[in-house]
Amino acid sequence: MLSFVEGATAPRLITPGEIEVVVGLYRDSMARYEEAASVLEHRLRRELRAAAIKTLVLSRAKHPDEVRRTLVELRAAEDPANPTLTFVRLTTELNRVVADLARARVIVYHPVDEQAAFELILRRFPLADVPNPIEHKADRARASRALVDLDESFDRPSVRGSIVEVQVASISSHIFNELEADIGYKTDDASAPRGVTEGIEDLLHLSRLTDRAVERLLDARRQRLLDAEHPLESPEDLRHALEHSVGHTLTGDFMRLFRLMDSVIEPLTSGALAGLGSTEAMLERGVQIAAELGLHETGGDDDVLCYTLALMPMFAPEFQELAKSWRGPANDMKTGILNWKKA
Amino acid sequence: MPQLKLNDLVAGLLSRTGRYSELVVFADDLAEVAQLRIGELPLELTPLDHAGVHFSFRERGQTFKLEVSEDGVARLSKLEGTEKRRTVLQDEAPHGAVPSAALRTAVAKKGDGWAAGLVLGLLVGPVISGSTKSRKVLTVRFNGADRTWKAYDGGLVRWMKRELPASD
Repeated sequence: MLSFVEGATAPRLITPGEIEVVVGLYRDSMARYEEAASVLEHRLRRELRAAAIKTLVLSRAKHPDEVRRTLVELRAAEDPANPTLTFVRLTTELNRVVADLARARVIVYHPVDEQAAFELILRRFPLADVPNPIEHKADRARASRALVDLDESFDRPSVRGSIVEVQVASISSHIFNELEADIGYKTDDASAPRGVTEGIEDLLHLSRLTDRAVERLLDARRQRLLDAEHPLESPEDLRHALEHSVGHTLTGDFMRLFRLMDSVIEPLTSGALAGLGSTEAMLERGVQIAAELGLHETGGDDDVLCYTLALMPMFAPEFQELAKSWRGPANDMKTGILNWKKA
Repeated sequence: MPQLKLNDLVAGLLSRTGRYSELVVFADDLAEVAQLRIGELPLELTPLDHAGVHFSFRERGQTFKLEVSEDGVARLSKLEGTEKRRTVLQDEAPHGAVPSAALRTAVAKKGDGWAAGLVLGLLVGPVISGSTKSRKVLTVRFNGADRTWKAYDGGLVRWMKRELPASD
């Protein structure tokens, strides 16, 4: 517990002039937040692509004018007798007070993909040590938000310690969220012109309608993949075919799995997958093999790794030859393939 | 400029301990097809028909069948059992029309901007049990420096699987 020493002044609510100084300091260091957002954007894009989740990823740093507005709003909500928003705090840990100085947006086709993408983010990125690092909005605006900590796993020292807000939303929800936030008024704002209120309501209905249309579209596309002779032409197709056969979502690097399987099976179809064996049984077998190989991602944390290991009795020479040529740092999949030995 | 010789195809087919029964390559990559196109019959080849489609030859103590197809590919497989050899007159060279068409088609499939030195192939194995028509295959790339075939999982996999079809 802090106590005030003699001569020290009590915490004092930040003044508008001091806010302007803080905004100026932020402007000077804005390049760092641009870089942090960009670094995470690239990592997100790579991870989501590997997981065969189609997304559009965007990033940017918060504009100084938005920072000013946020600080003014925070100041207005403060208790002047016991303020937490002090000049000293804002000059030393602005990013912890305004956690969305660096932002990344992950836009997916449909709310179902939103869940898959968000779960991947929670699994693959460290959360910031701040209050409420995860938030789900499901009333009018629909989105999931995570505050990610750029820790030592990120190569660039200049961005380490930064917090980046990652928001995941479907295409239609993204449009609604942005327009409501930028143009709309708060729903309880009685001064909102009727036309604006009605426009926002129309947009909300259109957004929900678009989500349903996208769902039907994706269902129709995925239905074709269940035809035993229809080729699986992408990592997304492979993911959907395998997920359908087990009845739940699966995790892992589907891009690598697709490259492996596409190189050794022709045509690669749902029928071919069925011929290889029950997906459920193969995943169980793969978990055992992963444990025997001492891989840390076992117990179903990485379904693709387990499925790949279960394929090894049939494709070991080919997979090992292909894995040897993979560039980049070793990962569990490469290690598992290269270390696998016939029992 | 063709980079492959028949013995390179044999080495590719036999390199993976009998896991595959056929190797399919683009016809323009094979030197012997270029000879056939101009009406020359390479010494090691024995025609199995007069159309210039099927040939046999011996290499490493084994007999192989080479098929040149108008769809731009050449297929190598082991010739099991007795060779069904058509009577070909001694001075009768097979017709060069099919090899010629095979070359043209292969070049057209690849396009003018094809990467120099890139030679791709498809090793074809058995049908996967429980599947109606999917087969075990391996997409490979020829390395001219050491004349070996390496597994290939690059960006042309889907295309080459379509353009290098296995025999039925």
